[in-house]
Amino acid sequence: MADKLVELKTINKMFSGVSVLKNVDLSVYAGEVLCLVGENGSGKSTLIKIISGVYPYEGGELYLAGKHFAKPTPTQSINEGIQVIYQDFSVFSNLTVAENIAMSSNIQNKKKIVNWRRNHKIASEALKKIDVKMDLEAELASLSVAQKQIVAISRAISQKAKLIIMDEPTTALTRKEIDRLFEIIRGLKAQGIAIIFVSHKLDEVFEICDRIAVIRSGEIVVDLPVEEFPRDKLVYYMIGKDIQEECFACSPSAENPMIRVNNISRRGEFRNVSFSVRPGEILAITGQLGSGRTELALSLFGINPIQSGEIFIQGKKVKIKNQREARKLGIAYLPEDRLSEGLYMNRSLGDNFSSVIISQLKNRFGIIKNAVLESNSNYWIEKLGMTRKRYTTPASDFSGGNQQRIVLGKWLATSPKIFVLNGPTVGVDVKSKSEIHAVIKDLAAQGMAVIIISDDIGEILSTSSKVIVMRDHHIIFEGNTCDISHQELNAQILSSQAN
Amino acid sequence: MIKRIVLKNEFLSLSMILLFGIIFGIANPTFLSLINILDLLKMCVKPAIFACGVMIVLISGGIDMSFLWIGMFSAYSTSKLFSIVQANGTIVPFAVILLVSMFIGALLGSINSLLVSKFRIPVFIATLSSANIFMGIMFQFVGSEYIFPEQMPQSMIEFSNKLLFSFPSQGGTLVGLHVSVLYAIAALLITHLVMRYTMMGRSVYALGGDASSAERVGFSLIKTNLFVFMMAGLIAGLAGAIAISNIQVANPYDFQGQELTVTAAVIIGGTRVTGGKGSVLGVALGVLLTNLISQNLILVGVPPEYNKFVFGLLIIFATIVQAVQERARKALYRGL
Amino acid sequence: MRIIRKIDNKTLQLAVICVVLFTVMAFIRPKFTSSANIYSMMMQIGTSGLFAVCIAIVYLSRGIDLSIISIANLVGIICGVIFRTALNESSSDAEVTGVILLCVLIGIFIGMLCGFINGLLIAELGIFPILVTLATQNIFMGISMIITQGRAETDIPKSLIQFADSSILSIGDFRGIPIILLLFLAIYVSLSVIVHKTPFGFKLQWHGSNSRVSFFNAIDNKRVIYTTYILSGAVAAVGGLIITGRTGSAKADYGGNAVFQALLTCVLAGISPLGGRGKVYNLILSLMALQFLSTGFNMLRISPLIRDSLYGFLLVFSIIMEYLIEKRRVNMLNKKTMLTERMTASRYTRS
Repeated sequence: MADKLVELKTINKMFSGVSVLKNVDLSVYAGEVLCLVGENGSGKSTLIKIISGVYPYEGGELYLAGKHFAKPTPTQSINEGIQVIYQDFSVFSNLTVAENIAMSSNIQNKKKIVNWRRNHKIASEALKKIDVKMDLEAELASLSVAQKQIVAISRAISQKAKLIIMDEPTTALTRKEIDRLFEIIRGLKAQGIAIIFVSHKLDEVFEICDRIAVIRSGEIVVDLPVEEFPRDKLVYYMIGKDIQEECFACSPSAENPMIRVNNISRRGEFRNVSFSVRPGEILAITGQLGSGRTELALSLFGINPIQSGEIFIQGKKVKIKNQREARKLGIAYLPEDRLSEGLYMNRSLGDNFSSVIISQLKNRFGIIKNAVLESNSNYWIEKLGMTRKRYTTPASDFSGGNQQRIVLGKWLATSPKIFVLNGPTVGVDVKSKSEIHAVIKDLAAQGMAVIIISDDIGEILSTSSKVIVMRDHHIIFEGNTCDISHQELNAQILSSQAN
Repeated sequence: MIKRIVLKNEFLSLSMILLFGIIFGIANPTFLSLINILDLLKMCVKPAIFACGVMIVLISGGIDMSFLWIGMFSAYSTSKLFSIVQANGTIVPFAVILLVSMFIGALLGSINSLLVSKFRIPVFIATLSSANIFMGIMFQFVGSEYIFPEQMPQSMIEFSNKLLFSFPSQGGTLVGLHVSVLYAIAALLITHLVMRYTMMGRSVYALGGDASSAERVGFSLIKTNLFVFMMAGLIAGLAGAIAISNIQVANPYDFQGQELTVTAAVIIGGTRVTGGKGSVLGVALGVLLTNLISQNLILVGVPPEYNKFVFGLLIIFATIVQAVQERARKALYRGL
Repeated sequence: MRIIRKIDNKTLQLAVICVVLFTVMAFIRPKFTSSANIYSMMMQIGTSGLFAVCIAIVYLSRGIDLSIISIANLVGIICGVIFRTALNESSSDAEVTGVILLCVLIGIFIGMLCGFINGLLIAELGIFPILVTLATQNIFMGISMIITQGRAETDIPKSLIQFADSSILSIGDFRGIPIILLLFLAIYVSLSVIVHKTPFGFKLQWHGSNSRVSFFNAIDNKRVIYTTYILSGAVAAVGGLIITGRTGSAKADYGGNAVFQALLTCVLAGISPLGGRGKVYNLILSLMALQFLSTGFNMLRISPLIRDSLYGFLLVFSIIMEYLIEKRRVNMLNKKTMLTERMTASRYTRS
């Protein structure tokens, strides 16, 4: 058996009386890729933070490289060769590749003086280990996300990492970049470095991992080598129940499409896209990152207008030049990132619910009364089934699921005809997720045309009636969700060679 | 390669200096005379030293509004202290005066650091208030009257008369490189070395680039902040003492209202307002450029009233060019 | 009870400061409460208040406008030039009034134009407001200097000066309420209403809160920026006209620390330079507090520089107080909500 790099024995952790981790046992061996899989809020980030010394643990024992640590600090954890690469990589976009890679090892070695030649040496050695060539003098701001990730990995290697923990490393990568990352991971593995790969993308998990550990509500529910792992049971382990991937059969309330797009293109983003959505239908658009799905959604909402092709709304040809025109045409858009694009976090519930329709709320003197904001807010709280809160409560005080409902609500207030939802349940817990799905289905039932952009196959199959798969900026597959299985759809999304 | 040089932030100020140099030189040959150039260099001493501190704070991600009052406070109290000492018959060497002034500056800077890192006050607001507080304390407890050459410490007066490579000019007066120019160069050089070759200096860049990442890779933000403001204060103390010596009078109102002029020069020199970027070379060039223009417009027949106007246009022009450079840099490196 | 709950802590805090300062000053210097002194304080609030209002609205949009005093002086100077050229000793009263009214219109137009230039550079070129207005501050002042060649414009019509010094409701010794204060109050109240009660005002504050969210809310961000800086320019122009009327002259470099005072008034009133937070109606209280302080110190024969210093102390003190209050609030909130929920949320918070 290879060396045990990390061993957790019945680790417990509480946050203000709530148990977040319960008797967690987990070991990581040199040269293996362990996937840690779990829902949001399942405790996986807490687990990572305990291993990396950010949080103290309460019960149990933690061994790093065979040594017992009762109260590990981040520095101790780093000294034992444990490195975490967070989703934002913690790199400095204003500094060069060389400095970014060498910085941590300089800090670790308590250097006071910077030796730039040594920086270069450290950087080029680290890059060589993963067989990547990069301009060491390039400033990080000018690099792509994947390149920044490579810098973060190299930095970890330069600190003599024995275990690299990657927190959802593939979220912002295109398929090509993911393949490259996996190559790098395999290379690291061959050098005896262990990887904890945190992900909830099931197919990647099976592609790259040697062992899979599933964490649910703070407990490791299963921990098996990948060959023995029942592939079809993974979702069950993650959420503790079988989700019915019953396809969503819609009943369009009218035959004529609400929106029809014909051969629309935008250079470098998508080309020759055609589809139509009838009232009551829910269309899912999916594909890998960089396939053009988000760009298409933005164009439908008037951000980055189309350059050729036609869009018809209720049979009438329209030009959507900007967001304001899209809104006038009855198009609503739920942005990808709720926190930075969806809500004014420091503003009140009343403000957020009225933030799209504010101009309609004024009285004949042009004044907006608090009472109007209050009744608008209360109306949507009720309608969306949220717990009652005063309209002055700041948006930041709500949970992820409720925040997403606020974003939905502010757009529903415009009574849209077409609703484009980009990742409607990203970062939302399972319960809220199904509730949001119910809201979306209900909207369709009332005669709205809904377009969902998502990479969550379960979500697509259970909420949409039609699905479009995009790759390399164009549509490669189109079909009814009732006619396609989870695996088939997944294969379509991942298919990398051109048909 | 050429492209990379063109895309450097320092390139803008350098080419503008050359451009204006040529224009001024053609329009009026006196511009290129040694006397004029030596004079220009001496004019740059005060803003150049101050600019080093301003740059450090800007790189860390804040705008310092207190450096002039820190400079005045330190220099004025130092000269007052030593003028009293001198009246009692002790002559103090110039180095001691500088050190004391720098020490006071660093002390005041640490107060800024306290406001910023402990109470989370935005740097702009914190330093704006502290500037006024320092000013008030100085007027109330140190003094507000001029210190004239007769009372000024002897070594400061001597310093102001020191010329290097001096020779008599046509008018018979001595012309030469003023010694304070060397001090300015030394200050620039030391700032450069500290910012580029020490981990502390690099931590300032890290802090300005992304504070939470800086903390995560193991920098202590409190330490870095303390360093930033103590350095800035120390430099301001030095600049103040040298500036007061150069004019031979400690006039407590002397620096008033020049905060933004110095800051603008630093920004024109390629320091990013949002932090994380900036170089001493750029700052030196920025100071040189702004002073070159403001001192010499009159030589080419532009009345001094146009100074402010031209200065304002220069800021906008420099900012636009920097934005274009940034975009081009991204295009250059993408897809490597 | 409801009213008390509606008034936020800041208002109460400022009101207490005002009362304390007034009482202390009145106690130390009985002259403080004399009608002449109260009149002159009202005059000064009327002028400095306008600049504070400018800063308040740009602050709320997460911007800053350093050019306001330059705009004000430029407006004053251009009006001064118009007076000098259009009027002479023999001009009739009607002519004078006509020219004054024309100047008011031209002045406000110039203020709006200056604001438009600020807006243009910020909205279209995406340069930071602090840089843009630092540059335009120099440019506008530069234009003033070019026009006047460093001199002051002094040919201000008597009737304008008289108007600036007039008041209403005078009873006996008490000179009443200065027209300048009334003018300020009118602008102040209407801008408070615009900022807090109209669609534009909401958009302005949301822009300060998070302009990217506004972008996805189909709000025209550029228009918000333009309107904000044009408003600020227009109010600054009124300030310039008032200064011209009060002092009977216009200079390129009048009011050197007016911007600083305005920034200070806003921060003291709890209007955050980080945008999207604060109530414009608190401004009047912080204006009063600073005025009591400044006048009181004047009476105590303390140099105006020391006064500025105390402003600094006051500001730091009030921010530290706010920090401590906020810290307590967050601590209490943390106890109430389950930490786990906040933690999952914070994972997605990227600055």
